[in-house]
Amino acid sequence: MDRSLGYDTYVGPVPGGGVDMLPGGDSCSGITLVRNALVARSMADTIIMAGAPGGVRDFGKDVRAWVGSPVDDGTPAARARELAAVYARDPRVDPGSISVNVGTAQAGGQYEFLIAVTCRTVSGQAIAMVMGVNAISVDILAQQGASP
Amino acid sequence: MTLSADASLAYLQTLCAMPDVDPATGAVDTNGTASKASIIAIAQGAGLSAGDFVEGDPAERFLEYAGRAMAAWGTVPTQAMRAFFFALCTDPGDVDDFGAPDLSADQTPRPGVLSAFGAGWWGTERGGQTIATSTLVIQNAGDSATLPIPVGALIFEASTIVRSDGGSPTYVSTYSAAFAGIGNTLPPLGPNATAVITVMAQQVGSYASAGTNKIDHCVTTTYGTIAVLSSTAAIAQDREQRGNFIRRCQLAADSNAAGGPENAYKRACNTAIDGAVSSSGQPGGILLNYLTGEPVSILGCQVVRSATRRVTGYVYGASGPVSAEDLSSANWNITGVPATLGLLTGKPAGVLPDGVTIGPIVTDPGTNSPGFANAIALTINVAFTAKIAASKVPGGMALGTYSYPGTGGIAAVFTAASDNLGVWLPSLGPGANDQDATGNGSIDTPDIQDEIAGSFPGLRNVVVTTPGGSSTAVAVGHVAVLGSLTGSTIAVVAG
Repeated sequence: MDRSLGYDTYVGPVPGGGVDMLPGGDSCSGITLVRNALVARSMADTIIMAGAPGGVRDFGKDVRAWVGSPVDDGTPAARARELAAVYARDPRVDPGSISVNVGTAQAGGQYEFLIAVTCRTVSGQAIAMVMGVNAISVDILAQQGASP
Repeated sequence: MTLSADASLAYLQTLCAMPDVDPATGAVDTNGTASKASIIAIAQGAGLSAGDFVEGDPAERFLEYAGRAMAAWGTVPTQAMRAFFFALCTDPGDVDDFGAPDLSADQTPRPGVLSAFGAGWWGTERGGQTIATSTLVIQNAGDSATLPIPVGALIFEASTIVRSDGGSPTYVSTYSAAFAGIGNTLPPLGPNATAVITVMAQQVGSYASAGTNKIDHCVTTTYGTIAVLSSTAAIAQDREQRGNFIRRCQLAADSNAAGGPENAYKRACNTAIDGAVSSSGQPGGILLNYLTGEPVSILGCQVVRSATRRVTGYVYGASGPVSAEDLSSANWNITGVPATLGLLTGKPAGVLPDGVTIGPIVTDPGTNSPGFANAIALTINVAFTAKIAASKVPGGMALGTYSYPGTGGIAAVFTAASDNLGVWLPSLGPGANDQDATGNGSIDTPDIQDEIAGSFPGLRNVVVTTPGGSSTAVAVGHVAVLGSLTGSTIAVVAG
């Protein structure tokens, strides 16, 4: 088991959609942990943090809020840049390797748009995944590399 | 080493703030900062790198939640400890004797730990806020019949009463016999036709108290043009003051003593023992006025006993004397005579023992029996000189000597002194301090100086010039009330 990127309880995409712990309370490590962290950062603008001013801290970007918002030609690229900056906050991700593409087309009738992410971890493993976004959840639809 | 009662409580107050005190500020921590730091320290002590979490990762989140849960549970033992001591015990909206506010997240005044403590341990119920009600005669002032009006659809206003927030009290119509139309509606009223309806205040407490005919305006115009011809008085009470409630609780142990010791009379003059005569149907509630059904405004009574099996007493309130009806209600509860009095149909306390006569009044007009008398107001005018640093005056003030009532910031200082004395003097009760065997006492002038000095931060070097002498005599049955501060001066000095 690759523990160079941490070792923790699995809290991420689960069969059937949504984000949760696995029924057996499984743990995870390696790029699975990093991938789950990127999904978590895609679902919350802030997190509560004891001792932080106001009790909260900037964390990620809740992309579900984008569903139904007006879009022009420049919007997808601007959102991709914003997400790249958000993902770079994870110390296990090599900031220079992040590439994000935010789509505008619906996917399969269940997702309002797709987000494609490729990057490398600081220890060199490649991460590539496609997330589907709707107003309820952010799901991993396709991924390259180890799965839970 | 011995601790005084006050020192013990202060120490306990510090303990009550544990376990979650923010180490940086010393403030009680409600966000779990200290708990989280403790968990991390324990983990690191065990050799775990607990400080190296990536923010947002599951284990780091669990640590955050654990810290917050501990902080939340930390308030449970805190409240439990506070609950055992009157000095620390509070209801929402209260501040304890050490200045610490109640810990509830919602500070809307309502029964809480203190009310539960008083009711559960001392059989004494805290007087709560009440909601004013009134009966209105309304008239269709329009040219055509009104529409059927549902219950709760009419809003009225006491337009000539303006409260400190700029608003006027409002009232909503409630169900009464007049709503006999289809679907419990008020049937259409022809032009000039009248109806009698009931209303209740939309604001809790004394905010919505209004005298006879003060509810004068119908705000709702949906159903026609409705005028208010008359309204009965709408009276509501604010919540009983925390200190008054605690005093009544502390007298509870004396209330069942045979032979009528002083405190039994003092408790019976304002506290009911039976549900049928208390403010909310619970034993230990505030005694009700036998005519209005409202809680009596009685703080206590002075009791003078003799060697000849005769007890005399004087009942007082926050303004000195109380109303005649309040006094009769107190005499009924003390003597148990007559069996029922007006609205008071429950069981009186009846603390006057057989064979003991009561006075000084021979015939109370309400009870037609002997009883305690009303306290007599002894107006005390106070004049004083004092100093205050300019920086302590709200808004600042030019140096100089200012006479009562003053202007600007110095007026606020005079008002604070006036308000404080206005509450403190009557609270001493009839006879005041240092009473002799017949109930005659006095108020020491240095005590007045202390009260003035304590009424505003920074006020110092207080010298009372009126009343003169070292003390003021207060005869039995007389209760001191503040007259005016005319002649007082405050010197604003540099600093």
